[in-house]
Amino acid sequence: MQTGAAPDALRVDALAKRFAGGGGVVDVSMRLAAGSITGFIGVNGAGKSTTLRCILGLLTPDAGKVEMFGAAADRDARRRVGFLPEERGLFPRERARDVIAFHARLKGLEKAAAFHAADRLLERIGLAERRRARVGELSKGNAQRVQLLCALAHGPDLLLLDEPFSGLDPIAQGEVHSLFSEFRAGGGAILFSTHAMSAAESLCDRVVILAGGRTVFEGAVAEAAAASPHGAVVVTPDDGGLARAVAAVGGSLVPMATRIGEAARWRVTLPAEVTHPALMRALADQSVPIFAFEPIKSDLEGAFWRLASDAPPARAERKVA
Amino acid sequence: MNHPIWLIAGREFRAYVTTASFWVALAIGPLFTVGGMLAAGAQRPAQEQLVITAEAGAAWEARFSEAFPLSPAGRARMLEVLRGEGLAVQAAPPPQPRDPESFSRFLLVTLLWVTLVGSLGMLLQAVVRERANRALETLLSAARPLDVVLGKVLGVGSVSVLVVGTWLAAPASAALLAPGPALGALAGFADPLALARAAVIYLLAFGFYGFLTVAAGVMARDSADAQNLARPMFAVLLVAFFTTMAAATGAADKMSWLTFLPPFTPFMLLVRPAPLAVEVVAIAELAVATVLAGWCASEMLRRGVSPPRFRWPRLGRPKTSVRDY
Repeated sequence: MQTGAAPDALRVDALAKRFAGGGGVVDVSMRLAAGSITGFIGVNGAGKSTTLRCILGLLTPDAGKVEMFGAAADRDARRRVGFLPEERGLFPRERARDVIAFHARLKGLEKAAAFHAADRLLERIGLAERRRARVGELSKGNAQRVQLLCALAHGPDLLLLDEPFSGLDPIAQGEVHSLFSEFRAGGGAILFSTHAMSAAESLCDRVVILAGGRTVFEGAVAEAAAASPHGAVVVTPDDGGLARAVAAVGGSLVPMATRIGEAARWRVTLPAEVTHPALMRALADQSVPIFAFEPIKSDLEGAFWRLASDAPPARAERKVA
Repeated sequence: MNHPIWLIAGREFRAYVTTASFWVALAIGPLFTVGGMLAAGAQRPAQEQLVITAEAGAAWEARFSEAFPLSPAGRARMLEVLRGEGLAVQAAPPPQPRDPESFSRFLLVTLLWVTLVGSLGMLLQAVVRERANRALETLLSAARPLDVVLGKVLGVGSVSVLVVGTWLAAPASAALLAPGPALGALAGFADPLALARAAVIYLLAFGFYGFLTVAAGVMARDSADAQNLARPMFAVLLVAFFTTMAAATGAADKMSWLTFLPPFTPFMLLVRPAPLAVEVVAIAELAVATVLAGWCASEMLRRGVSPPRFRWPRLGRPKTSVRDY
């Protein structure tokens, strides 16, 4: 992704970090170009937060390399990074304006500039009238927006955000989307972990999908979606009829759950050229009774499910005797 | 003043001094110190007494106190009468001279102990609160672990200095306004060198115990964990205080070796001045221990050390539980 003279904002190669109690990451790689937004996607426990902590230097990796802005990630480089941790923690007694300015000054901004930045950002996000309010007096969503502003106040070149949308209402999410877009337009790079596929799909240029402690996909969102086969979830009591219909259109079939009564739930995968109506026609030809038919589009969520389920586990799960 | 240490220290300081409860507690302290000073400094009125003693069935003896309410002529006449009765009579011995600095030393030791116990509790909470809600991660993404440790100890230490300063300023002001007995009780604070020595010992003591507290806070997952981990340290503080009190009341020679044990060093040095060589070695040792404690706290913060887990041994047939699945 390195284009011309502009170095990647972030480059992670073969990062590994294992914990004594199990878990961690075994092989994570990614690149973030300046002026881009990258979604960091993975199931719970896949290692997203561990990766972010390693990038920030909060954890020392067992192996691998982290580079920022074309050089090894050192203290100076990390001062150009804004970070939003997964678990929000602010001094409840501090005033919103003070807490933003404090974080900006920690990253090197002078006092006057820090307070100016705090005022500007609070104005920008519609919290100007609450600048004197203590954090403990703010609603959860507003406190979270204040914490996001803490990450932005010193004018970073790279934002690392752990679940930035959790706890935000749709209006607040829209504001954050717009903030991110502004940040990208200004040449900044964002890496954010999320479980919200729709947010990742609408906002991100690229996605990194993590499964079993490994990077299983890195690329453009459209590329990920294209890699996801489309199909449908079908609930029917006629397994034989369904199998014949699917075979007739060149698809494949996977049971999704144990039988409920006489019916079973199947995940049908179709070739790219076969449409949903074509599958329905094939089912009708075989006189297959359909209790439910739910189309699966070729999108990021589909890609995520396929990649996450295909990945080997990071560690052997305990077997129950 | 934009260094992370100062910024973190300033935030910790403001977190405490902007509460009403802090100012209430701050105002109560001087009442105790002034009261204690007046009680200790007040001279007892001389007793009016005539002491007559019998020595093992032999001669009688009588002694006047200085304040006995008779003129010299009256005393002489009274003695004549007593001698006429065959008693051996002598003047009362002069009163034992008081050590004017003993109260100052006692006050310093007590203040050190009280401020340590109070401030270390605040420091522990400051670390645990941020560790529990992961706010420490935000700090550590912008500052070195050592900066965070120093900032927190310095911030809470400044609160402690404010408290000690107020508690000492009150009796000092009282002594200036009402010289005499009160000033006598504060004789130990008159020497700037002695004050500087006490300040160094205070700083080292706070640093040593402060860094240990941060280390305990870093290891804890929550407040209950933190209190359990810090309990041995507070027990040591309690033992140090009572040991020091015992040393002050006469057992100092037997306990002089405690001067070289860092947890006890500040108390022992404050309660009983030692020879210069001993003081220098003990203070140097305390300084080294303080630096080591700071390094340990910083490393533990960097590594995110968790407390050791204790598991009860399983007896008999192993049982399965929900956690096994």
